[in-house]
Amino acid sequence: MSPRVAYVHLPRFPVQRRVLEEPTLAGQPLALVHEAKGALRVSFASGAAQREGIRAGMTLTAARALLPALRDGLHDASAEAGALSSLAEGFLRLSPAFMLSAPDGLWLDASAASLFGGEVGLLEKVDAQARAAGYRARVALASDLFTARALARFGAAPRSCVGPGDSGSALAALPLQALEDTPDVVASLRALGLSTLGELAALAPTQVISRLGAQGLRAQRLVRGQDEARLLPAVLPEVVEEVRTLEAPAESLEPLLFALKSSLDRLSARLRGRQRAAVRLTLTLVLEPAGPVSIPLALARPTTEPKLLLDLVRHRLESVRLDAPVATVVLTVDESSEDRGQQGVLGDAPAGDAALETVLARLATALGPAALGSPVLADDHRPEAAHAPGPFRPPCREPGRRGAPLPRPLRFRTGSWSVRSGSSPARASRWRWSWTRSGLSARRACSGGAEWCWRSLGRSGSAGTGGASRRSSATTTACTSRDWGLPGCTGGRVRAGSTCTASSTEPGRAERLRPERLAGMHPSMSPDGSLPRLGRVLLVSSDPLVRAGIAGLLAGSGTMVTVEPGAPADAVVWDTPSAPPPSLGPGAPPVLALVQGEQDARMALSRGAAGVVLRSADAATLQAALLAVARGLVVIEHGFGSLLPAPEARPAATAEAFTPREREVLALLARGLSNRDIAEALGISAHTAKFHVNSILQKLGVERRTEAVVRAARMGLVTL
Amino acid sequence: METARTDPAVLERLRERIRTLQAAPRALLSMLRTGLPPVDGLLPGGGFPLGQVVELWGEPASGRARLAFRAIAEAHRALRLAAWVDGPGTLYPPALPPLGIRLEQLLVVRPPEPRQLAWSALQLLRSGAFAAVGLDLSRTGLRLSPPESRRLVEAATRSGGLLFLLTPAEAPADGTLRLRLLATGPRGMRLEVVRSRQGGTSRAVEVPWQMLTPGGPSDVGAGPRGLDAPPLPVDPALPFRRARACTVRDGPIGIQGQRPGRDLPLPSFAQALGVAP
Repeated sequence: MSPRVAYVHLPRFPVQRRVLEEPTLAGQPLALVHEAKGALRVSFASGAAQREGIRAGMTLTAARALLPALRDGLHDASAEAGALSSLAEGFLRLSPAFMLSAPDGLWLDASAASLFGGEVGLLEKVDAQARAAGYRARVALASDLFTARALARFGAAPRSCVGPGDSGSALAALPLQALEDTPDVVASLRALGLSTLGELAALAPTQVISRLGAQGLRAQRLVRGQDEARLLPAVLPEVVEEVRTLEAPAESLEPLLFALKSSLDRLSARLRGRQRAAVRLTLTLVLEPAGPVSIPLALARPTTEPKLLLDLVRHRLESVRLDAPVATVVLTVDESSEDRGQQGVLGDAPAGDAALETVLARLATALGPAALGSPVLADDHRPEAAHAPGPFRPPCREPGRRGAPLPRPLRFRTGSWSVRSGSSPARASRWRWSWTRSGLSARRACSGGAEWCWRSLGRSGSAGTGGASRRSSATTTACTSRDWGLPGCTGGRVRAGSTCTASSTEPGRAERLRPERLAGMHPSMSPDGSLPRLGRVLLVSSDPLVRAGIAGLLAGSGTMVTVEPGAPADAVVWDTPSAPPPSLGPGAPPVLALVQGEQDARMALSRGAAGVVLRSADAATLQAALLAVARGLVVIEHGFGSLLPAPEARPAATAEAFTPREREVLALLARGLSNRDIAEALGISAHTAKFHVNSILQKLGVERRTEAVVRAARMGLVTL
Repeated sequence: METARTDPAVLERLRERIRTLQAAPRALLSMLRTGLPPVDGLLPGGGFPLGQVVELWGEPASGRARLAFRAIAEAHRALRLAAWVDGPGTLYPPALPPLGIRLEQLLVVRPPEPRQLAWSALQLLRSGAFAAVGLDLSRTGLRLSPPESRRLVEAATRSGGLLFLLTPAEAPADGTLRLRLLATGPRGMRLEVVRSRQGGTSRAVEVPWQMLTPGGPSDVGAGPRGLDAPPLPVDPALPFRRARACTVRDGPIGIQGQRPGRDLPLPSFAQALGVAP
């Protein structure tokens, strides 16, 4: 299936941007001109100008003749492309990637739509975001680039969403003009009397080729919804910078602040899209004759709040004396950090947060960031080293009642479900699964008693690894993490650098995982935390009663059950007493065996089954076991502990194994002496003492001296 | 009511409930109590009222900061923030947690210039984000000008925050409530209300140090690691490193067997006498 894309069309983007920067132009006839062949020609005209008959491509002289009151400005294509790119960065909150379509549109990767209330919800959010940035937009979502763009630009509705197979019918009513890239084909088709894309799509391909050649066939494929072009994600610029050249050099603070406000809004949107928060900014004011003046702005804490930043800039500018008018304003983010949202802000009301932020930023700017902080105590015996300045991060006052959610596209979810063990009803066990999006929450889930921790590593869309931890006393089924692929992770920009320790079932081994980038939650997991569903299960049993019973058990969970041998399936259920083992070729689905006892289980495992469960298992256990098997885990019923590999036995050392000298060394070791002290006490060299100690450690099968002493004391070799 | 009067269990439950309610963080704060019965009894409202400038006026080491932090601890218990503008730079944070201060809720500001002290306190107070702000002016040689004092009072009134103004004995400021603190030797200190809008001026009270600081000066020698701790028992059976024969004979020796003070040549008198060798 082709990936879904959304197109955001910003009608007459350069004109909208000009009006946004200069609100007095709103409603006025305006034309943006460029120089071509020695004449100024109109490249974009505002709505008011178009009503007077001014079109793109006209010379400015002709436009002036039509409308003497026309206001004009120079169109700088590269600056517009930069502005479009910075606007697009703001959409990264909603989409993992974008591709620009200069001069007035962009495609967004819509694969993360499920996180924003479906595709319709995503379109609404995109529209709202464009409106928040001050732009009018038309959006469309489809399975190919051409359909999305054509619908957004020429469709009747401002928002449209086309299903995967409906591209052709949705495009049918659009005018031929939508084939913008091939004007020759459009002219030929018009000459042939066609007017809509549907008419072109209905022609026989042989006719199209004979009349219009390969170009025509390509156009026909486009209008039939068979565009094969793929979205190429745009590369983000390294430095976040906003340059604004003022219309007229600003002599006072007011016009400067007005320009800064829009610049800061854009800067904040870009930072939020990147999930970064500004730590240090530089405001560079280019004075008309004098040259640039740099004003560093240090923030008390990382932030993306444009209001707070503007407040800070205003405060800073009030204390700066400029001796020439300002022509250009450049805002550069020198240092940014991961955006943790507004965590840990304490105040009486949401307004209190802003007040705290403002006063902290103001003090940090005026006094320097080193002048304020919260003391942190250090464990040191020297009084002067017992404390150190730290950052001021007050705890959240009412974490549950904080109003606005964090502006973050993807949030981790933690859910739990429980399975009652059918085989041992007296020991009802509770499983908790946590599927997490960050190391922190994974750690929290681990400490909260979650038996399994799902986490996915690598870039979006790549497979991940599962760290499974188990509490043998509470679970019915042992799971070994073998190879846990998480396919189809939805794309998203995520936080990095956190760690989590997940203990595995093998004794004494713990994996330490450091995700570089974490990706989305598993798509088959429903948001309310219920079990993920299996697609299809093949049932191998010759007993019709058993077949009916298992099909009935699994039907409640929405799993499809088939008995046809060789049918594609996610997992196989093999009823061992009634049927011979199913044939297991390479690439065959994993087999879960239903057994009557341990003997059966051993036989099933030797025949290649990935899991063994008692035949008396109930629906939830069966479903969980099937799911685990399908995900590449080994499932073993709790009672069959002997099937698990025995832990590696430690070498048993006896008192007879030690030489008299080693016993002496052990006795001194128990007193806490160092190698050198032992050597002096026994009148031997330190090397010899070390040799004896190593030999003792080896014989006791331990790694540390303390461990050796404890073990020796338990064995009665030394008395403490 | 009748049953309550007769049933001690009900009374005890009610008392317990009252204690729980009092211990819980309060949504609305109108004053900060110090938790010291003599001090709270002395103050007109039973505590330091919010929205005022409280001036603690006295010599260094007369207990001004300790008294202020006792009140700030009450704000911290109510999950409010506090800030301390440390003029002399002598605030010692490890001493604060025993007073009930939560360091993560305390913002310490140390402006590099003394003239920025009052400005910083004014900004903190105006923001309304801090329930209590302390401004320590001792040992800075700074005296608040009348406009500055007025601004501080106005900011406290508007934002509802409490400003503790710690002023040295030689330079009193213009607080709404002024308390004079005087250390009276090793036993304690004397607290006197010099100025108050709610009355009660010229009342005074003696506060012992021990009450002001839990585990204070009288407890210095106590504890397992204090000065009064008995010496650690020495086990003679422990085979400590034997002293070498040369160490026993010659005393401690330096690197390469040198004996400092004995093997080195003595400085000659010639240089001291000005006679060139």
